[in-house]
Amino acid sequence: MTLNPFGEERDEPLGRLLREGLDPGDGPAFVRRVLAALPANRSSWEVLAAWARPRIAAALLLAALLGWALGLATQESDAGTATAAGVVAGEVLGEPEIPAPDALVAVALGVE
Amino acid sequence: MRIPSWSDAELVARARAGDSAAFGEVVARYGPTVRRVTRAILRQADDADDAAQDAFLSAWRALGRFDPARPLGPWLVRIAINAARDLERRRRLRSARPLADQEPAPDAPPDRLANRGLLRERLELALARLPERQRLVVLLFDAEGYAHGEIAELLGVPAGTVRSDLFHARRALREALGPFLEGEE
Repeated sequence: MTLNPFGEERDEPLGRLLREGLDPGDGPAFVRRVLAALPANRSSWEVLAAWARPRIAAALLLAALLGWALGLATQESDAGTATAAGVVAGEVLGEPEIPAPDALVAVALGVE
Repeated sequence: MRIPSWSDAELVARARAGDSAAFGEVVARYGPTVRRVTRAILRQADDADDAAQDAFLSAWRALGRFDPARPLGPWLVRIAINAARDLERRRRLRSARPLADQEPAPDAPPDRLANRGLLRERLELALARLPERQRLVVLLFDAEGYAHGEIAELLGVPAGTVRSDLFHARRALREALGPFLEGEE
């Protein structure tokens, strides 16, 4: 049997022989052996870390979103405050009143 | 507890939370493949099972880092390959007896069931003559059903190298296991 090495076809008879020849046997005993070798419990830190990792990522994302939203709101509020302040200042200071020339001359001549 | 039909993702989620029964199901599901992979690398049953056990213990510790969106099998196979290579390095340091390198048994026409021991012996000898990567490639492709691309990713080589390894490994194994294959075809 010749198979094209560039094809996707499997050599089924050879595959079966490999599975049979390398068959480890006694799967349940191996499972028991591995489970017996596991640490009694995963350390509470490992469990906590596995539990916390996605939640920390979600919290960071939420914090970033909140920060962004807060920043946007603050910018809008600052812009509003600045506009209002400008209006008030304008009202307080008003247009500068320039004295009439007659009044200036009168002051200069000491005329009451 | 029996966990008949949970998906890999469900099992991993439970195992991550410390459920060792769920992890036991992972071992039952992937143990045969992992043990064949370690056998293909180490070619010695006891060492291979030690490496397979190391692999599952490493997987248990690393479950928190496993991405459930990815398939579990290749992740475990990668861990198994690393565990077997580690053990092989340690074994070399201990300078353990190399696997049987004697002449193959006589060419009696094999009855597969009666001669399972002979098949194992022949296969062991034939695999011992192949480079490790070729052993893994032919096992993963023809026996475990992995695709060329997956194997290339697992072994860190181009897909063309996988195809070439597969060609050479198949040719060598077919030559060595000819009488057994005659009954299969």
